[in-house]
Formats: sequence, structure tokens, C-alpha cells
Amino acid sequence: MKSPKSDPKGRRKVGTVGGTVRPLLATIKQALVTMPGINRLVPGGRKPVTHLYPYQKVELPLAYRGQHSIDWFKCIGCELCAKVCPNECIYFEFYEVEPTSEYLHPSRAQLDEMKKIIRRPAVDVGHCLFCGNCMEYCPTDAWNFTQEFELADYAREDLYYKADELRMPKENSDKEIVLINRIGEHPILEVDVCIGCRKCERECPTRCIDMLDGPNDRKGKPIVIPEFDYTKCIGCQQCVDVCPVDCLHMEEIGYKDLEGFYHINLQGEVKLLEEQVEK
Amino acid sequence: MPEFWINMGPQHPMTHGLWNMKVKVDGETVTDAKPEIGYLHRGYEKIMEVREFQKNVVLTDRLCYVSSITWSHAYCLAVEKMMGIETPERGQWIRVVSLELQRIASHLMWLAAYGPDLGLLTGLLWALRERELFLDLIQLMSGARMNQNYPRVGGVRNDLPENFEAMCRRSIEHFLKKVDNEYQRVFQESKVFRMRTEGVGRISAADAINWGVTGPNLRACGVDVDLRRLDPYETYEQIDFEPQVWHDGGAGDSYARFICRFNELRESCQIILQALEKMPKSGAYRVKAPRRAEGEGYAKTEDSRGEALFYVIGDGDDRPYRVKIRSPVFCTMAATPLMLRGNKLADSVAILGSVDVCVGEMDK
Repeated sequence: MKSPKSDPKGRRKVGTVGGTVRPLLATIKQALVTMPGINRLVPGGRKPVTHLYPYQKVELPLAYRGQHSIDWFKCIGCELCAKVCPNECIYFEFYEVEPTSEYLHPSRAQLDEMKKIIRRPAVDVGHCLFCGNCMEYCPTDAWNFTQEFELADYAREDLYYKADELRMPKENSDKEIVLINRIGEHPILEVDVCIGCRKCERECPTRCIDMLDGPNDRKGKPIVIPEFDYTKCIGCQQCVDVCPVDCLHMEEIGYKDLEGFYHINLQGEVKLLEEQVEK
Repeated sequence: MPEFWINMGPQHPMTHGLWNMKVKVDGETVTDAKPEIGYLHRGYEKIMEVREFQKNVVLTDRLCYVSSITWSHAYCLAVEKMMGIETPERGQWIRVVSLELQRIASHLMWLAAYGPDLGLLTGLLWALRERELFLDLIQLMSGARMNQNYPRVGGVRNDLPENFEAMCRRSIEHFLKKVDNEYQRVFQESKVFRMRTEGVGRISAADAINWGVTGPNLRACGVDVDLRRLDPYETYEQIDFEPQVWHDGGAGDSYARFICRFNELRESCQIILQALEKMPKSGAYRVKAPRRAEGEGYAKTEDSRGEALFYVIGDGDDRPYRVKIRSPVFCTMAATPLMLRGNKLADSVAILGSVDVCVGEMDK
């Protein structure tokens, strides 16, 4: 630790030639160092570290979480993103589509009531905190973030983005279907309580539920009970939520493998701020 | 002239947030002080009881937005201990890198606030300029500049990007040059700065320990306490580093606190460089974490402001039954009347700035 008194140059005396010229030279150098254009030529000169923002934009890494963008081909409307959202700002909207629509997921489309209806997420960006949980736990990799960060708006209502506005452009989608259970749980049935109402079968987004013949209910009438195909289950808890008698609960299975989470390693080549300014 | 109370805050440039320091003055001399906090109380411990373990990581990020990774990491560590899981080695090394990057960013923010406190506006501009380098690195690593949501129960969110190591080395090299040349001259070797900070706000080591002061503030009193060394978590025991302790005379004043933090900037850079070298180049960075858990977990870490503690109890549900947060600034704040007593009123800014107040974590 150096004390100010141990300055090797010694104290500058006022009134001598050196005492007058040296501060003057220092002042001139500082003036040149900060002058635009000349600053690059002077040793120790500083380049600006700021951007002319609206005209120049910073290059952002791929992993940056900006505007949401949802791949409608992949989304199966399981509502898992809404469940893992810390601020609960994801809402689901129902759209009626043609029976030939590409967005209809075959599993749900087989059932009568769901034949023409798809559900897709809408986000209240005013409440969103851009944590990326929705993207991390999405079982089909349908959820993406773009590098678009200018989301400010004039009215609070404008911050509610409808599902249609968040749709990813068709050409960006690879339409590759994956189903990964990233929640690490699957439903378990209590047969004694089940009344065989088939609600879970209708609600399941991957159609992993089959209704089989079960025991008789209290009046002696035979009922059907659900059987789960756990290879297709994504742990979305939709069946648990709709069950009118609470005969289902979620149980730990663990992730099938942690490679299921590797889809969030999105960083590509990117430049740091300093580097972008230098060019 | 009779003694009377002055309100320093809640709206005062010195406070760095919403809190009030009541100061009793006799002329120019402070005879007593009383910190009043609670303007920013958000009920963290209660909110965390109604949210799932994973959603709480987002919440703990906002405990202190200046050093969010260190806080969410402390929470994840406590939950991991409760669940009985351990992060894989690469995950631990990535955590060490992220923690130290965050510590540097936090200390630079403190430096940027402490400069203008003493009328040194250059410090603000320079420190924020260099903080940008580290925020860029953090953004590259986690995808967000602030409130990153990066640590996970059982690891970290994602792997390090490919070009991260080279960028990190280059930024640190650039930063160390700046610290040695510019920062040292404008702060440490400046006579005015030393006159303002030396000998004011003195607190003895015994008092500091009794009042629960931790971290750089306690190390400035000459007590060699660093949880990274005493109770190593993650892979800190494999790293060779020197906790920054003030050994000379005149311990416990504002200048000593400044020096301890300032030297930690360099020390953290060395830790990052070592971690990048010793880190396994590939491997798992995250393990499977159960969604529901039962038991108790307790983790204390060396936050950038002192000793952060999380105590989590789970009752078999997917959310904690009870969470206890120990904030280092909360305890340090209780000791500030001791530092202030006997000093001039104008020096109270130099004293409270050197403590590094973060109201977000103090009020919770």
C-alpha cells in the first residue's frame, strides 16, 4: 500500500518552471484523451463504452430471454408452463380450428369435444419476470425466447400478449415432436375413490390414459378406471386438476435423464459489449 | 445548544435505499444514532412458504438485486442439504465462477456508490463502466444481466458457453489493469479520500463480533473470518486464495473496510482464473432434484456483504414449511450506532457508505 507522500516524483513546487509546465501538459493530455476522434491516437486514450442506442443495437446471446415465442406446431396445450410460472402470468386461450389444421395435436383431436379446439398460451408480459422456467420445463420444446427486448408499451392492457401474437413464424419451426417429462412426477390412482367419470381421459394432452374395466361402485354398477401409459406421461397434472373426487395424486419418478434439460444451453458465438464497440 | 435528532433518510442520497438513520447531534458531533428500517419489508419468509422450491429461486434473486446469484445459491444450497443431494463437480465449479463474478459486480456497485458519497464522481463512472464487463459475462453465462435465476436445486441452469473461458480471461485481464492503475490511484492513493475515511467510524473487533458483524466489515477489524476458508462450501477448499484481512493498526475504520472490499476485487479475479483452470472441461452440471422433500437444511455462505444463512424446513410437500433468512446487513446495521458515536455528522456518510448497505436484503 503506497502512501501519497511516497510519490517518486516528489512534491511539485509552485513557482518553478516544472511546477507550471507539468500540470499544464497533464491538462492538455487529458483534454486530448477525451476528445472524440483524436482519443484513439493518444496513448491511453479511451474509446467510448456506450452505444448510440436506438440506432445501434447490442448483439445479445441466444440464451437471452426477451419476447416469448411459442411454436404452435409443437405446443400441445398441457398448461405446464402456467403451473411452473412463479408469477402465474400465463393464461391459456382456446381457439377453434378446422379439422385439417396442422395445429391440432392428434392425441386430443380423437375425442369428440376437443375435435376442433386447440389451447395455446398467452402471456401477461407486465407480470412476467423472464425467469425462463416456462422454457425450461416445457415438455415439447415449444417455448422459446427471442432476443427482442423492446417490450415497453403505452397502456397496461397492451402488455397482455394474446396467444396469436406470440406465435412463432411457421418457417422457424422444425416441427419435430418430442415428449420429455421434465417435472419428474407422474399420477397415481386410488381405485377405491374413482367414479369413472372419464374427465382425466378427455383432459390428458398426450392421451396417455386408457379407460379399462374396473370394480363396481357403491351401487354395484361397473365403472371404468384410468390406466396410465407412463412412457408418454409428461407430468402436467391436468388429470389431477380436473378430477372431481381427488382420486389422483402426483408421485416422484425422477427425470428420465438430465439430458432432457440440455435444450436450454442456447449460447452461440457472441461478442461482449467492449468488443462490439471497438469495431 | 441542546442535543436534537436529525433524520438522515428515508429520502437521502446517503441511504442507498429506503431506510432512515436517526442521528442525535450535539453541535457537529454525533452522540447517538438509531437505524429505522422496514420501509422495504416484503415478507419474504412468509411468501416462500406458499411457493414451490423451484419458484423460490426466482424470489431469492430479488433479495438483493446487486448480488442475486449469491443469494439464490445460498437458498439452493440449503434446499440441497435438506433433500440430501449433492451437485456434480462441474456444477460446483460453475457455481464458484458465477458467485465470484457476482461478487465483483456487487463490489463494483458498492464502489460506484461509495465514490459519490465522498464527492468522487469519477469513481461512479469508472466502477459502473467496469461492472458492465462482468454483467456481460453473467449475461453470457445465464442469459440475463440481473436477476438471473441461474442456480438450481441440484446444480445450475445451463452449462457454460463454449467461448466463455476466453472471454472471462480477457475481461479479467483488462479489469485487473484498470484496478491497479486507475482505481488504486483515484481511491487508495488519493490524499483527500484517505483523509475522509481514515480514523472515522471505528469499531473494535470485540464489539463487531458481539453485534454480529460479518464479512468484509469484520475482516476490516482484523478478525480472520471467511466462510469460504473456515467452512468451505462448493469447491472453495481446492482453491488457493487469501481472505482479505486488515492486519495493520487502526483497524475497524472506514478505510480498513474500503481496503478489504477493494482487495477482494483482485482476489475474486484470481479465484475465477483458478476455477477456470481446475474445472473439469465436461460432465454433468446438474443432478436430479426431487420435487417434494422432508427434513431440515441449513446453509451459510460468504455473501458479498457478509454471512448469509438459509434455514429451510420441508414437511413432505413441494414447498418449504418454514424458511429463515439471515441477512448480514441487518446485523451490521445494528452495530452502526457504535461506529457513528463520537464522529462528526459529515462523516456519517463516509461511515455508512463503507458498510455497504443493501436495503433489499436487510428488510427482506
